[in-house]
Amino acid sequence: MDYVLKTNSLCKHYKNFKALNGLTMNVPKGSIYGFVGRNGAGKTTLIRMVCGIQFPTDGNFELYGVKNTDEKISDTRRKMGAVIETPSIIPYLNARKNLEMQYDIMGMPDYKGIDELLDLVGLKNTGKKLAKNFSLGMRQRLGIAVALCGNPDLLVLDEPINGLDPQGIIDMRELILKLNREKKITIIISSHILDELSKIATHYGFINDGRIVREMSAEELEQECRKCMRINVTDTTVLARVLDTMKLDYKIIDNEIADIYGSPNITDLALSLWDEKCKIISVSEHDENLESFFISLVGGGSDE
Amino acid sequence: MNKLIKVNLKLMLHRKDTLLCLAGALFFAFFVTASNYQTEALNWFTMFSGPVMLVMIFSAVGGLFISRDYTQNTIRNKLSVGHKRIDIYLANQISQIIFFCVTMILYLAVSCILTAAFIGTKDAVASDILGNTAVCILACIALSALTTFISMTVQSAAGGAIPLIIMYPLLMFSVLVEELDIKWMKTVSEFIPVCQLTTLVAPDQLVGRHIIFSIIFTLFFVIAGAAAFRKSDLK
Repeated sequence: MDYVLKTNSLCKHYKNFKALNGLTMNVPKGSIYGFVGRNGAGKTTLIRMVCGIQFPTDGNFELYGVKNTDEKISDTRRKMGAVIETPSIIPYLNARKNLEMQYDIMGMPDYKGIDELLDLVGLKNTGKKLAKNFSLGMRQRLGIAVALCGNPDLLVLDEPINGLDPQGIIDMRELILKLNREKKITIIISSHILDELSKIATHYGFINDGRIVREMSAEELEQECRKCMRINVTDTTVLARVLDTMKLDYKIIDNEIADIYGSPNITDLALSLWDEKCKIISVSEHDENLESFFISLVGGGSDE
Repeated sequence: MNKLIKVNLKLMLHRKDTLLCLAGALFFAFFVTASNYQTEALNWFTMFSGPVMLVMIFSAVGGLFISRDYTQNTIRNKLSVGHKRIDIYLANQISQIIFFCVTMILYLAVSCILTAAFIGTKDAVASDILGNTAVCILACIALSALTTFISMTVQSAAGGAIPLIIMYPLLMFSVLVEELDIKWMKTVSEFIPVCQLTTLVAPDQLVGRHIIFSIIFTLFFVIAGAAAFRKSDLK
């Protein structure tokens, strides 16, 4: 698999605080990589490092195979665009002028493609309206348009839907999917709104206390979170034998608890267990979403 | 780096404060010359009384211009598309020099034209005026280096206010030098661009020394600022 970003034991220490503590992650090419973690887990610190805004204390990363210590990293960064926390736009210019400035910063020979970009983010008809008079959603979209100048292959979005209204969230989701599917842009997106993230991400990286605690694909997550029946019995060894006979998919949690996938015939199961002298203590429907999966992974409690 | 300078200059043309600064300098040239003419105090060096006040305004406006890159987070747009930090710093420094110098040269040019129109060129000693002008421009460049250093180091909106605040103790120091007449203070004041500017209302007797001191001052702050910015973590 091709990776656009690979980090290797990345560390960032501020006096006694460890923002990143040996973070290792891999972002596959063409993916929408959901970067999930609490406040202060180290998401923005990592994004800042990748963008060259901050420097690692230890460890390294590779962007398109180029190490962060390599001289070529500056040129390689031209392949990426980023919106970190707040969109980086010039408030006293209109949307078009903002993009023209970014084209100038990048040294593009002309302003071709600006209309297409404005159309893509839905800001074509804003005319002379200054960016400072834009709504939050419009500013976010302009920030993305600025990041998309120069046709990057990698787009880094840090909390892009924070503060957006429901329509703004839908627009942002559609824009991200469009960029990924039509323009084949790899997207790293950090968000607290896990339900929203689960609608678009193809890969996930769960970060806690400056480390990646788990990296997985959306399929793997779906497998982990799929709907099941949680059954509490006196002996899961017997249960496993019965379920094998019934050709049902299951997962043993411990000596008394197991998850059964699919839709088993409860009467048949109960009778079979009765024959094997195994009692059913309780049965409940178990449905884990990204949120509960995340909590089970990093534990609940305060992030302070 | 050329791209960044071009962008900075374009943005300056979009900003009302920088354009007002330019217009203000022209008005100030007219005001200084006309008021001195009215009080019969006009000579070929009265125009050099204006730069002290002008550089204070330039420092505030120039500092604000750079600090906006941090407050609006647009510095990230430069870094994340691969511009080297040294290029960003030097582009900001050169833009500041252009802003300070172009405005000052316009002020001096208009002042010259008006002075010539009011009192004629009979008393004008070209070498003295050119010497003072050279000291004035080099002092401007030195102060632009100080402004860039402060605003690129502070990395916040305070980058506009601090250069202006710093000018006051420097001005006070130059007044103290005149009053106390202490040798070491005089030597130090020769090194400070603001103090140099206050001596220009008469033909400068230390043109060469002042120019060399201004160059040293500029190089010190450019090198120190670029080195600090190269290693600093941004937000």
